[in-house]
Amino acid sequence: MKQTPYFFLLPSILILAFTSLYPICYSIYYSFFNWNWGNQKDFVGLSNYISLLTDKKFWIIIKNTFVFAFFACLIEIIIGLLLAIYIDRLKFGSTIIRTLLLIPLMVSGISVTMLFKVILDNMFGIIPYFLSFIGIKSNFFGSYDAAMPTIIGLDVWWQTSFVFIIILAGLQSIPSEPIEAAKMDGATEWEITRYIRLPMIRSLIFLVLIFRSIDTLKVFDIVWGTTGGGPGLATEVLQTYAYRVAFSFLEMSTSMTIMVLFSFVVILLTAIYSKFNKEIYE
Amino acid sequence: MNKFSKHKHLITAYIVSFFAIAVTILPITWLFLLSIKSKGETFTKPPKWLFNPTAQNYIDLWDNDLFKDTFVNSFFITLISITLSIIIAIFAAYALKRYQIRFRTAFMQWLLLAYMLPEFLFVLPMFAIYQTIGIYDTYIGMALIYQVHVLPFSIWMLRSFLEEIPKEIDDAAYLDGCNPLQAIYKIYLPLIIPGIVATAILNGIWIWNELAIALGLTFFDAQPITVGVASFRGYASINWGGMTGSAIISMIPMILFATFAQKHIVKGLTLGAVKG
Amino acid sequence: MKKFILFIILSSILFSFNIANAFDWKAHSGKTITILMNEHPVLDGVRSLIPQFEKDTGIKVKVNALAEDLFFDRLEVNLRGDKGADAHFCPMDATAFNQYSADLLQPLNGFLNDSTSPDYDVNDFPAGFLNATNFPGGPGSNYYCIPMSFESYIVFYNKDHVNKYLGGKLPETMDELIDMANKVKADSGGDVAGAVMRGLRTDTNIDTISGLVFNAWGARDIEGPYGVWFDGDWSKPRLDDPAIQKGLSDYAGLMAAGPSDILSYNWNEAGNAFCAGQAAFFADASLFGPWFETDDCPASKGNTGYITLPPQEKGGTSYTANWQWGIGMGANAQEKEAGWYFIQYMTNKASEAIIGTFHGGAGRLSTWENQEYTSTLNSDYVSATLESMKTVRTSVVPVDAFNKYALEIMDVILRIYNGASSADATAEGNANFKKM
Repeated sequence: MKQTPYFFLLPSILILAFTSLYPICYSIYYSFFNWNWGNQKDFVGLSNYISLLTDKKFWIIIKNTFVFAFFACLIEIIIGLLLAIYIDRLKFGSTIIRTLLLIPLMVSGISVTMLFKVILDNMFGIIPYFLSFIGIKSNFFGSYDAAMPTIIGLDVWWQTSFVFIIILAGLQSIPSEPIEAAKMDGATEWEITRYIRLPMIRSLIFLVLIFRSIDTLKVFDIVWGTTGGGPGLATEVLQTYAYRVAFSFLEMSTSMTIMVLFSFVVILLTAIYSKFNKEIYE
Repeated sequence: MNKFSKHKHLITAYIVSFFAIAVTILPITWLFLLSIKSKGETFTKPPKWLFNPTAQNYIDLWDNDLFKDTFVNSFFITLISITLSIIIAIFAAYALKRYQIRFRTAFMQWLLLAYMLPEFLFVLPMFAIYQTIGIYDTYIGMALIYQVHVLPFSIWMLRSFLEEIPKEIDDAAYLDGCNPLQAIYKIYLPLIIPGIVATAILNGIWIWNELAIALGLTFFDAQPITVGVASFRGYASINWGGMTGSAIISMIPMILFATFAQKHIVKGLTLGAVKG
Repeated sequence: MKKFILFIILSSILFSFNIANAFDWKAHSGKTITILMNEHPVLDGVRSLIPQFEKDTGIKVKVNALAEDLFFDRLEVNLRGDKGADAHFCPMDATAFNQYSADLLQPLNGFLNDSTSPDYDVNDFPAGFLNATNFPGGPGSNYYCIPMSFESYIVFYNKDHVNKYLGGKLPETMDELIDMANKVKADSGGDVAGAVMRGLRTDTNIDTISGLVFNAWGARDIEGPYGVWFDGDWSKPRLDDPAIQKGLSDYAGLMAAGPSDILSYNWNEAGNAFCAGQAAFFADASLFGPWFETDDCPASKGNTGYITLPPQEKGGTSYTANWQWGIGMGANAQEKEAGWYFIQYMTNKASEAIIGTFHGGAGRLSTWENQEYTSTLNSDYVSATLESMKTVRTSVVPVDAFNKYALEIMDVILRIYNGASSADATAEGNANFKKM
């Protein structure tokens, strides 16, 4: 019987070992070389790390990535949480409402990018057209200042349902006894939410926070497809830079160095989160 | 007084829903409008609301063999991947919650590490392995590689939902003397159905829309729908009708799946009843 | 008598030798080949010929085609596997050079000498086109890709806008073009873009940029392989050369006459804008021409004019760059001989005339004299392109990681667009070049 848990974990360990261990080790290995995806494969020690970390451009890119992740996560979690709280109350028509709210998530990255490029295009887009009626001259993807907020808005439109559906499932799993009891005591809906529901799904909220954080730090499609990281470096993020370095410059090693650094960030982030929510790993 | 305030909260909920739906659906409506516009009407200044709709784009898609093949491929790959991930994750989540695993923290951190791997980077090492083993361009090959992303998420999610189950039920299961398999099947599974459904939906959507890995590890036989949609990006011009039409069509299976699956995310699912 | 018999024997040997050497198209009948290509009008042309090819050779063809950026990703991965496609669309530039340097491409000279139909005539392609992928350059080199379509960089103009805002007058110098574009933008209240260009920050704009820079460079020599960007040595970038400064400023100047979100414009957005009649001028690849004359572009069909890049001085000569798509073969192809049959079939004289009608950028000189081809194209387009062909030079610079330099060059243009002086912008560019 003592072997049972390890037995249960075996399939996941095996599959993940096969699919993730090799790429992780491969990337770490090659980050110490100067591999150009061809015949050049010399050992260079830590020089990739040093040149990246001393490159001014790299820190701008890191800043962009964190700015995007912070605001996107914050807005998505707040809106997603509120939506879940409200929709949780509904019985009539709730399936339809929930499915409709999920629809943005179902659009693929390419389609979302293409759609919003069309909608927000200065010349042909429907939104600049409406804005021109109220006298606003807009410039979404082509402006240094507006590009990042626009992309954040795009991600909010696209991914908030991710937060929404998880929190909703959590709220709907809450046992009804404590809630009935509170209602008998005369508590208002918001008091119930604040003191009973939210504490019960606290670890779920943190889970969503962790995964949204990683997803937003890893953002690629909606940046590459709309601005290509521009204008200038205004929207260049870690993933677009890693991709550009790998496929345009053929500097595989540099790209893998970026990946290793990125994983340190993720580990650090989850360590910070676990300080706030001790139960994460328990 | 109680009755009114109860209704007030329902009313605000419906109002909020209305606005949320409006914001989410309007861009989709534009996507749909684009797909029924004929060539030359896609880009007009000012943008056209009124025009003669045409179903030609959808008819063309029906005749498009590549699109149909990729649709079928995506269907099977997604199905296999979701099934695999949920089954494996349930056992893993149960083990993590129920037992004192020595390497628990390290394992869960490794899960996050696997989840955060940038897709295009880890395709490269796997490409060679896949060709050697012979699972390149196969359904099972794709389902396996997708576990890197969906399995960690599923395990974390299901474990979290298991955590919500009050301790009394755990003890009850113990006292009843069921073995782990029975406990999972009879007690825990029904209680976390909303969580399983939410996980399955999110996994399904992610896999269905995945592109980078598919680009590297498929060629003909297992090429999924995302590559099919992208193929409408021509050289001098994008076939907007084809691209938007295929985007709309590729959303439909997901909508059906979500609608069907969500019937299981229903309030207060028997938690109290089981306890009794 | 003996002499006569000898004569008969010799001539019959020669005769049968000739018969045996008649090209056997069916030599690889029964095999199946895989082709990896990009969604491109060339592919449309190729697809139209595949049934005939399969009948003539008995070789079955499976085509895997993707949108361009995805195609590049898949190509790079595919070339590095154990088993690759048997022929692929080949960008005849630094990308191919990098692939050659990594030993990923199949040299083609062996096939050209031993397994090619006698009427193929590879020298019908301009030397400049073939040499784009003649590596490593110089005697003993091999061709790695055969040209399938080329583009030179010209200027498209919208006849209605030119008539309305410029009184039908066309620019005679580059500076005039920029002024006229600005005039259109101003006079139309910003409604019509004076010019559209690729303004996105990417290394892929380098070919259009080279066109404008060559136009400013004029008749001066360009010493290969260093291209115009380096002064005879990789450690000596010369972005601050006055001609290069002028060329880059010209590009930025045209961008400034464009719409306010031009910084997010790739070729697709720029092409769309011109196609929808929202711009007066568009300086880019000639290959767009045939598209503007289709029903996809009701606002530019029959309404588009074609001129070469206006020279720097009135009455001077226009210069521009060229770039090609070709067809090549990976070193890891499984059916190399059959793949070669596909390559030579699709690039021989007969096929090219047909495929060429789909994209308007045929590589062979003989095709441009072929009525079957030229009659399907707008005559202004043909004359502008032919004229540009007289002074084209390749934009390819065969050095590792040229894309990094290309991106920096685009950054220089963006600095000028944002108000920096061309002297400062290019000085910074030189400094960055040296760091690479």
